[in-house]
Amino acid sequence: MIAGVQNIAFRVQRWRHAFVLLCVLSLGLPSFSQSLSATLKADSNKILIGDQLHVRLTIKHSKDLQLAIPKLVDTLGNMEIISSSKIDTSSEGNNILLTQVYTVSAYDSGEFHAGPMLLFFKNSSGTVDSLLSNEVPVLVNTLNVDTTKPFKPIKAPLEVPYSWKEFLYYLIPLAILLLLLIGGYLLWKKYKNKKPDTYVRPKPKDPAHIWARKELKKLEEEKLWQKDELKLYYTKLTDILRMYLEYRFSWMALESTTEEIAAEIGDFPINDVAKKLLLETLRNADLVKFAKMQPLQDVNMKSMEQAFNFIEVTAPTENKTEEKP
Amino acid sequence: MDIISSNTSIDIASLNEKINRESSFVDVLSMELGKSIVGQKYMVERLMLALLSNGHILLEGVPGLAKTLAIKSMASAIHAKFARIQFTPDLLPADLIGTMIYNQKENDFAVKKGPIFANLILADEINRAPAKVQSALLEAMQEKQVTIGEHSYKLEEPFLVLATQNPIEQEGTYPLPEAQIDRFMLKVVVTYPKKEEEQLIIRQNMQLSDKVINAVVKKEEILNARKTVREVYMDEKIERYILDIVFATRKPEDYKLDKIKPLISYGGSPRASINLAVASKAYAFIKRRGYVIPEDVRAICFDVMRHRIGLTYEAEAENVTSEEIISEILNAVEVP
Repeated sequence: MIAGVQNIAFRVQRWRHAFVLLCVLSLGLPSFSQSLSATLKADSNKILIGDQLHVRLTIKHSKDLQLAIPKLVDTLGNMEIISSSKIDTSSEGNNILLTQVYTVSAYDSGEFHAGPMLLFFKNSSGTVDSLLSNEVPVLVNTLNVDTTKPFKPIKAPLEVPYSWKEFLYYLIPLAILLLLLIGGYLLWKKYKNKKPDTYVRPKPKDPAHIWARKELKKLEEEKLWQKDELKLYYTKLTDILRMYLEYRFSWMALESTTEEIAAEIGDFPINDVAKKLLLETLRNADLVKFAKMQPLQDVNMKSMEQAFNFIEVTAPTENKTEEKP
Repeated sequence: MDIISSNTSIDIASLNEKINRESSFVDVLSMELGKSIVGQKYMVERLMLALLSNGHILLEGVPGLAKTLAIKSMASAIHAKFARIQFTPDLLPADLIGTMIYNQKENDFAVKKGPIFANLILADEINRAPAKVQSALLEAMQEKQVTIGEHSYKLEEPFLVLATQNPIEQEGTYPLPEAQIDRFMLKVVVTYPKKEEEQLIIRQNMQLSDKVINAVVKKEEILNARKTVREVYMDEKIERYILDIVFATRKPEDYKLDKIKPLISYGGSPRASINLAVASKAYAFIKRRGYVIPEDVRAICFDVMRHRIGLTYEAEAENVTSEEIISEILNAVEVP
């Protein structure tokens, strides 16, 4: 009897302990068990080795909770993460709904699991706690090999039809390279053919023949040879003739010697009479300038006359009668 | 020139006469050289110029262009002592200038003169010998004397160094430094002969008997001609023209040649001006003139100036040659 009472008392005490434990446990749980849930859900629980599987994470929590979602990059459970979508946030009454889709795969056969996922949160009282989501079991299969059948030859590579888009990757850089080469070649050619910058003396306002006549007239009036300044006289005379050639025929005669002028005169529209007049004047002048020759008075006058005549003969046709010395 | 007469032109006239008389050997020498050398008139004329203006000459050209033959022929045509020195990497200065040798009989050192003690020296392939040998030769060229042991020996006049060098096969060569190449009055670039000339060369070489070059010119004739060359009249205008050309290599911007300024690292030295003047006189002498005209300056300008203009890396990168720079200068500098 006593033993029976004791047994009942023991049972009551045990139930009391269990009730107290349940009460203690239930103190904390009701505050979040209804307001926070994390669920992982897969498209399928069976995949072939290497196939990809979408696993959707859905978190539902009340607005007063602060939640830290871990950023997974490598694995979810023991499955490899290929990619993950952005977290989609939506509102559902007083709750917030977060959704993220992971694309996972496995490269071995066997039993795998996506998840569980550990979430940390802080409730309105400031307490930090954690929640573990469920895990999704996934069976990864390999291809079944029927060993009873004979071996088959290895399949040839699949022939994928070419599309023009594929060639664009190669064609565009090639076209750019080709354009650059052509552009470079054209620039080089232009640079190579570029004529050297030559110094051009400013031209007088008057036409060349009028300018030359005026200059000769001035020289005549200076009476240099009469003052025994023969070298200066012939230097100025030949300079006027050479500059006239430059202004009239664009011939850089000031930088040419008499013999060079004689060699090149055939390239210009100068007749034999004019040619003789010019070369004789220049050669005589060279003797005075470089060989200490002192010509007679009539030779000095004749040189001037020849210079005027040369200009007269080579002046443009319509202007020949404009002005006479 | 009958239309011109003068009282002060007598000097030039008499000089012209003197030149005509003394330059007669030039034709004889040219004819004698013509026995063995076909064409290459330019090179032969430059050899004469060097001979007359007492300046050394450097011939540059690919092998087989008769550089050595021309010099040997000229030496044979002159009554003068000739020595040929083949420059090799193992040549020593003593092989060139000589050395002191111990004389057992006299129990003393005796001087053994080297091949440089000659009138005409052919320094064949000068760039194949190391710098110390080149220096020994170039010192002799400049000073016209050689020191062996304690004594200095004057080199006999005429003393002319005619060097050759090959622009190809540059491996294992010792290019002449700028300071030393400046000692050469002329640097002549020898080019290939014309087709017709080469045909004649073939025919000449097929002949069984070799043409013998006779000594037709005496040393005295050359020495006299050299004196006359110095007497050739050069007007102040020509002097200024020469200076303009040389100064244009130093300061191109002063001659409106800004575009060639970055191509020149250094211009011609005063030695360039001197040599340009002397060579112009010698050229006038060859042309039987007692006075220098601008043509004379222009005719020898390339040979006097080409080795005296330093090119920059930019010029080398753009393949600009010193000849092109000289052309630009001649086209820009006003002729007097």
